[in-house]
Amino acid sequence: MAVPNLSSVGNWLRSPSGKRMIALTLFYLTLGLLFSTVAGTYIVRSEVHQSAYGEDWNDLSSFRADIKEQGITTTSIVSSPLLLEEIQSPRDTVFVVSGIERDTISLPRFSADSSVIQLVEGLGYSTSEIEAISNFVERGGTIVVLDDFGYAQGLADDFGLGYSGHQLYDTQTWDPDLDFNYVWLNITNGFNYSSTSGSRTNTNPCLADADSDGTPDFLEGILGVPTSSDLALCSHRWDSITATYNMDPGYDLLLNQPSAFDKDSAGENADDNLYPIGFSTQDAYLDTNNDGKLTVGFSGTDAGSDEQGPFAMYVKYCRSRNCDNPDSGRAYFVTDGSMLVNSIYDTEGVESGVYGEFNKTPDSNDNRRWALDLIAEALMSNDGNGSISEEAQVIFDESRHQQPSFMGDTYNLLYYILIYFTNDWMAMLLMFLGLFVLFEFIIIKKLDPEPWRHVFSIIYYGYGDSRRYEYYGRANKIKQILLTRVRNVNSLTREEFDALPARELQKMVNDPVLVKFIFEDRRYSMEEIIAVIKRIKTWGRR
Amino acid sequence: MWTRKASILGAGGVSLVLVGMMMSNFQMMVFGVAFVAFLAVNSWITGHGDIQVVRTLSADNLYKGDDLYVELEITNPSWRRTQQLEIYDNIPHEMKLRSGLNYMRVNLGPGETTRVRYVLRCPLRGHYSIGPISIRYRDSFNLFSQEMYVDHRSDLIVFPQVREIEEAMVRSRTPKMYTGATTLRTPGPGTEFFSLREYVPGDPFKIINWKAFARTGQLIVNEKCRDAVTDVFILVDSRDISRIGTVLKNPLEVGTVAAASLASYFIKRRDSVALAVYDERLSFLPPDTGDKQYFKILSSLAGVAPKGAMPLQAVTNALSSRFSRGSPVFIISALEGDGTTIPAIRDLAGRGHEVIILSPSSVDFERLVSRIPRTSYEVLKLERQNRLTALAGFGARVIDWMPDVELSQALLQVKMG
Amino acid sequence: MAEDVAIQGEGLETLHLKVLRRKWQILALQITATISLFSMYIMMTRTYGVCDSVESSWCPALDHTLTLGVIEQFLQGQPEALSLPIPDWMTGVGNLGDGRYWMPLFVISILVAGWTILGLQTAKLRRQVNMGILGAALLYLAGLFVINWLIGMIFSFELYLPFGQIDTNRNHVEYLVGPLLLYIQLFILVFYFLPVISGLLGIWGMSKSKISWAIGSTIIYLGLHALLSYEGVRSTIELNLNALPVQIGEATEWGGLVAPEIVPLLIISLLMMIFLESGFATIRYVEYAFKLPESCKKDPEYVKQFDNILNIHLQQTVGVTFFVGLVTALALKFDDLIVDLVSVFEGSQWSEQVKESLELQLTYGTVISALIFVIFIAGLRYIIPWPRISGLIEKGIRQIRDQSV
Repeated sequence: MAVPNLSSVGNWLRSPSGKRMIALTLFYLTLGLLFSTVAGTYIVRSEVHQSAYGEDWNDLSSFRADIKEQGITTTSIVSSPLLLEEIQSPRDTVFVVSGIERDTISLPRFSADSSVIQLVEGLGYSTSEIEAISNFVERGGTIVVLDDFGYAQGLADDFGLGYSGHQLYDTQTWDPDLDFNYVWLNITNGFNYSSTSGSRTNTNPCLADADSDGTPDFLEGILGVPTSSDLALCSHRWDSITATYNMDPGYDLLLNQPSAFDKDSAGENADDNLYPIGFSTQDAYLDTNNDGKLTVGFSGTDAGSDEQGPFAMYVKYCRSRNCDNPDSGRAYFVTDGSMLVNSIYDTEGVESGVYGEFNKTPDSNDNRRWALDLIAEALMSNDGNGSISEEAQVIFDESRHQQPSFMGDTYNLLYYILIYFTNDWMAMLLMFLGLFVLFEFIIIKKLDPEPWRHVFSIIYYGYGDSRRYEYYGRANKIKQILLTRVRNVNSLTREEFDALPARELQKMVNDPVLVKFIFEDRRYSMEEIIAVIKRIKTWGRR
Repeated sequence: MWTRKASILGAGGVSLVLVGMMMSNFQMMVFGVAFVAFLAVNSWITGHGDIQVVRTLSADNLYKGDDLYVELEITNPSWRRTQQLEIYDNIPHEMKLRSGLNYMRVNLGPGETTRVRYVLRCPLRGHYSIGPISIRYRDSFNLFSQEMYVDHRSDLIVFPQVREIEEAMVRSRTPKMYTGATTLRTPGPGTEFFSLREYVPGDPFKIINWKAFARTGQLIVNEKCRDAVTDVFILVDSRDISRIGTVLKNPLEVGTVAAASLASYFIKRRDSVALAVYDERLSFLPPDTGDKQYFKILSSLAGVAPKGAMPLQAVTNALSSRFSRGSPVFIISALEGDGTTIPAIRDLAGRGHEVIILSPSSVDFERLVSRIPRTSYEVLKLERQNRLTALAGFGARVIDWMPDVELSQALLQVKMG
Repeated sequence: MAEDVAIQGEGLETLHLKVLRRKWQILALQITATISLFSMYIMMTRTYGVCDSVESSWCPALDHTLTLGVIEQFLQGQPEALSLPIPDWMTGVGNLGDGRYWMPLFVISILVAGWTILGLQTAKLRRQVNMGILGAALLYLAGLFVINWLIGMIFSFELYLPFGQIDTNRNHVEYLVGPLLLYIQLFILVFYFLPVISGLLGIWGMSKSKISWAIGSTIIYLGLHALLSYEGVRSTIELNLNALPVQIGEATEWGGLVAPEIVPLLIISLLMMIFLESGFATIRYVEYAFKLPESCKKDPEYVKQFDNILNIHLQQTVGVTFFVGLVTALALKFDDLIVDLVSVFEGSQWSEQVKESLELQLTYGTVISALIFVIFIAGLRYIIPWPRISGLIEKGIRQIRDQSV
């Protein structure tokens, strides 16, 4: 094989095919650049965390493992929560959102309330996604929203809540073993929904104890040590060493860099079935000036100072009043996105070094008990049987998490677009329009080649001038032709003929009608013309 | 290229999938996927058009109105099936399919050959070319089709018809003056020896008399005697105006037939025939005899097309030096729209030429295509009559040729001045 | 040269319409189309002719017996019990499963066969038969009524209206009820069997528009069913229509390729495609042959190439159908493959999450991965020179055949 030398490469580059290749390469490079720029704005590379499928200290793998251990199916949504609309049994489904790390791509939409096009979408989730989520809750589903400074605002708004978006410092309950970023949220009774409701532990099957004998209803009648199947989803409350069942309705939750709800939006509003349950202490401050420091002022309204507590940090929403109906939808909002990450949730694992070495290890906390309690409340029947539906599942929202690879992000984006266009009304409308235009285009533009057929055609015509014909019908022209005829017959030149006296001409013509025609200048009728022509025709022949 | 069906199938498939998703209807989705799969599977079996085509014609030259037999031999030399292949031989519109078809649908296997045979009738003289061969291949389900052509052309000339006019020429008064192939004692290309003369550069070597060269040391050439009696000049009017009438019946068309027939008649008599065709310019074939000249004349007549408006006098002036003395001149013209006709013919006749004017009656040809009012027609005829009479007055022999009169018949109607 | 060009030959076999109608390839195409049409219809009735088990009195399913049954019930409930004139054994009412359709399909086939044979007769005879049938239908509708009415008036020497009379014997209009019921029954049958009737007429009567009608009506049925069983509609109007499953189960059919819910849907799609392609192809080819000039119809070259085209079409119908089925099945199965691929190429976190993702469990994943797979299949042709391979095989077969001869 010949080795191509430099000049041949140069020649090739100058040749039309070479130029074409260069142009094509440049085109695709530009296209690639454009695409990556657009994709880059969507995919902001940052740390990958808070994923139920990651095994790092800042992921939620042990929470998911606990759920799976209890025999519950775990599922993920990688594209869009719009898919919640497709869930057949929301009653047996929990949707967990842990940290909403990024915004979404969506179209402007028509909103029914203001009857105008809504150009700006809510933060985090698109309006139709929020609709899908709240619909899900309405149909009996349970959602858990854990977020601090992310994009949970839009979703929380729909439930009448407002994330403040500022970090909370609690001078009383911060963890001195760790640092001020770690704040304890101590709740004496997690089921005191409102000041009037009293403790409603009976709404949770793990704590429901109608006869107040210290044994939960679902374990009534079980003699001896309950098996794990007896314990069902409440096995986390059973201490196998001491063989005791923990009936504590309170939780000591450890939060990391928490935020808090806005004071005005998270107030106790029982009419809305929105129950603020966990509060910071009086001595908690929100870093409203975002200086990263605690600035104590004289009052909350002081412009330069941070706002002072107490702030709601854990709010529970129930479709039914006081969460009485176990089949009604629930929503849990906590102002910390990382309260279920492995390093806090799985203190034993941290101790044993599963997640690597840490300088300080968190104390044991009730985060795990709280999380599994709410799973049990959602999926376990509260009729004393402790039965679990076969369709019970916990769905983790991974659609708003960074993916560990570019491929993964693209894959998710692809699904997002597809699901968005087949579920969001505005997008569906656009898509229908697009399909319609596509079909129109095909029908109008895409024509099959005509069948070949030989056409024999030699038909064309020569002249034919109606104006000329008219001219040849005039008396003057006829007169001229008659005179030429007379001249020809008598073999005279034009000059000789012109010089001829009238009497001579009359003699030559020798026809009174024609003589009269030559000398008389008047209008002739059609019949007269025809008669004259006939006469001229016969004239020469005599 | 995707056909309309494929485009609709593809777009329909994707739409069904999307709408199926919207409505959570699995049937639609399966339909959609199946449609797209149908396209995908079929895209594997597209055909090709790499075929070899050989066209054979029954003749390269033929006379107007004759039949031409065409055969296309199509071979698929590749290892692939062509799939459905449409083969279409492009033939000029002026030709008529007599039998067979210039089109075939085939599906040629590797190495397979097929033949398309058809017969064309050529009702119009002219220079034509058959080809190229258009090819369209597609798959069995008409989803993808591609067009191309094989640039294989065959040229052919359709001569004007040649009519038998010998009898007419014998019976009419016109040809009586030409008494046949009696040797005229003038030098020229011929067979009989005439004289010797000195070599002039440009003379062909084969006529050098080598014996005389050997004898004298000088280059001497044999001069032959011209065979023909006469140089017959045929002037054909191909001006734009000569197209009056239909495409098959107009002064030019019948004029070419007349010119071809006259040329054929005189060349058969071993006369020399010269042809001058004037349209927007003058094209002149110098007098010569023999088959080659005959072919040249026919070929040149095949190519004439009506255009331009060169006056006759310009023609006769240009040719005046070329006209052999006393030779007969045939002028084939409708004599329309040219004021110089009369002086030109008067000059020719004055110079001692026998002028025979064969004039197709353009008014009557015009009547074939447009409705002329009776009076106008009669007046037009009278005017034409005047013109012909005037020409006859200068000693030309004038033939007023009506459209439905045969050439031989017309030649008998010489009108003397 | 002139002698090189031969004139068109004449073989024993020609491409005249009469010959074409008996050509085995054309018949094979027509029979293929017919069988696929019948199977498609039966398959459709199995899938779409079912009501929700909750309440199975009536629903807009693709089952004529439900409608006929409801009408019959209504008629029985009338003060003077009436019944539909066409007997149940003929309409399939009372049978279960596919039995509801066999008899009507058989009767339709007989009628279409008669119609096709009639189409081959002279125009005069055709007109006479058509007029005869029309006349008989009219006479049956009005004849009995008019005659009775006239006789009634003649015998009673009185002009009266044929309805609303106290004397029930004078309400001759009742004679109209029977024929009207027959026409209603016929109309219902024609409505439900429209795809089959129109399709058969199209295949055997070589009419493109009738085949389009068959496909159009099928699509309308499917579209209506989809619309009526759509969750949004179901939640507002209670129609008891048996909706297709949204979530599909494990692939257990066809050697673990397809989920059982998909099989009928896939087969319906394939049958529809075969019916459409075979039906249209028959017409397309016959039309081409019909338009050829007389000399070409007799030319053995034309006949041979026509045979070539038909044979290859038949072969490809079999091959393509098989591959489309396979590719579609594989494509729908491809979501599993995606998961496997993902776990090979990606880190565990993402692959885990994709594996468990709701998208893959719902139809989205299946369909997206199916489309990706189909595109991959389409692109495969740039890698595998399929036409060359098949050409080689064909060449080889021909050589072997030549040697054996």
